[in-house]
Amino acid sequence: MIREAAGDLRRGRQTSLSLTTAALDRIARLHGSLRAFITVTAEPALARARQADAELAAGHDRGALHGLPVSVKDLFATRGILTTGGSRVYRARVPDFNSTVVKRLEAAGAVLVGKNNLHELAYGVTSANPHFGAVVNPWDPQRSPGGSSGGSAAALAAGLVHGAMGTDTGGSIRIPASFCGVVGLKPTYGRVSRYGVLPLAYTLDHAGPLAASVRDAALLLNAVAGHDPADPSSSRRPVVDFAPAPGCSIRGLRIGIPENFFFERLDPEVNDAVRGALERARSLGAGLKPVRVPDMAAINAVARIVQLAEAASVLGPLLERRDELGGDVQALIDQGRLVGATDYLDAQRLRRRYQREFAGLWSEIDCIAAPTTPLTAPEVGQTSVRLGGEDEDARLAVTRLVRGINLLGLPAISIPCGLSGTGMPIGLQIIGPAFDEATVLTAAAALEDASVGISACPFDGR
Amino acid sequence: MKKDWQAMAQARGLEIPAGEWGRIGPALDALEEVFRPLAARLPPELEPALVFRAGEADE
Repeated sequence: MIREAAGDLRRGRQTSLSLTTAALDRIARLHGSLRAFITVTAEPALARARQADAELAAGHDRGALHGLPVSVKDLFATRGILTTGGSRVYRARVPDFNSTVVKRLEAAGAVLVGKNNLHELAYGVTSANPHFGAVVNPWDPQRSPGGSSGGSAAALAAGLVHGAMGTDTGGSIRIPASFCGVVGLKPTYGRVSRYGVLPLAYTLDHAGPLAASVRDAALLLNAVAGHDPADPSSSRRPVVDFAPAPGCSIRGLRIGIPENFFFERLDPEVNDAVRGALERARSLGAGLKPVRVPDMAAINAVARIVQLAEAASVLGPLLERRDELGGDVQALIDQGRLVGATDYLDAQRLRRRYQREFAGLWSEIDCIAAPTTPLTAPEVGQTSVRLGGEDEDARLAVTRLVRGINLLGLPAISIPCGLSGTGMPIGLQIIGPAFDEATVLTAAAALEDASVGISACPFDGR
Repeated sequence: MKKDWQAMAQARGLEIPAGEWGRIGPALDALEEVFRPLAARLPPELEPALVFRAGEADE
């Protein structure tokens, strides 16, 4: 946990060098069985750790992340460090600049120990990367870690880093967070700069933290949030301290419980765990209010049109090197090339309509709670799942409860809320109004404080 | 009426290997089924969620 490690550093119980060395040792020991990293930046990390220690000794304290080992998904540009996007086509790409997120993490004193493995080009939800190896779910190697930020989530679950940054275009932070039993926050669109992030879909891409706890996620968000003139979609909304206060309360919080869509066709264990967490929220004084949400199936379809078209625009030129791309990514780019310009514009017009419809909910409720995924991590290679008596494409099922939130641009967090009978984590999703990450984080932290969560992943690499 | 994706690809000059169609056609057909009715009756005043502001060039 960030706060504890930060305390240890300042009390002299640890140094940044000892924490970084321990992280690098563990990464080296477990890399073969997890494949959570594409590049490990050992030498620069050790140099940075020494610098962090020297700064603290000299009284220069950069804040909560100072001296702590973190990692970023390998699509954040890092100056002088390989940035592959998880694709063979970018296997030799070494940017000469830092993404804004990396720049801000460094300014906050964090020590970058490596670049996390991911689904190729962030275009998929399995992180079964054909070029850099399939990321392994630390809870069960036979189960998917989710994606596309699978390496970031696996690294956290296995205790390799104190925090990680991922991206989320159709659930790519929240899905792996749910499957790997960690916290994943997709902030509001525009809250965190996309500058220097390899794009997938310009109007759906979000950068955000994955962490071992809600408060850790908030501390990471504190470091990276805020306006960036280099990102045309970056918001000028003021940034607050997102870290929930100790003992924060949700008494009186109006939590919307969707009557439609979000609790349909669920694995019964997911339903039970999420509803159990909601009862815990009620016992803490929150009001649970049934709500009808706009047509999420339609919103998902609109989101898919937008993503297919934008991703084809971004990635289409890579088809000149088709043989170097994974088959699933090729197929999605090809699908996108067949989405017409009028369909794309119609999708963006529908987006406006659904944004307005959804905004109407916030006068009745403060946030929405729902499962993150309708099932726990499917088996590696599983292409179809059976839920509610119906067979469903695994990829569509896994993204069903998260994708639409990207179209709406709303902040959403996934926190672990229980384990299935087979010992796999279950995620609870809390969605809030635009730019109200504070409420989302406070609700999540209050539940975490009330023991909604899971024990640490027992993974030891054997 | 179902779209002929292969004919559309040909008309647009897109080279898509024959073996790919099994992963492309059915997925797009299913998406069309949901999306087409949504897009059918949009009021003209509903503008896309894309904004261009003259005088704010960032390059």
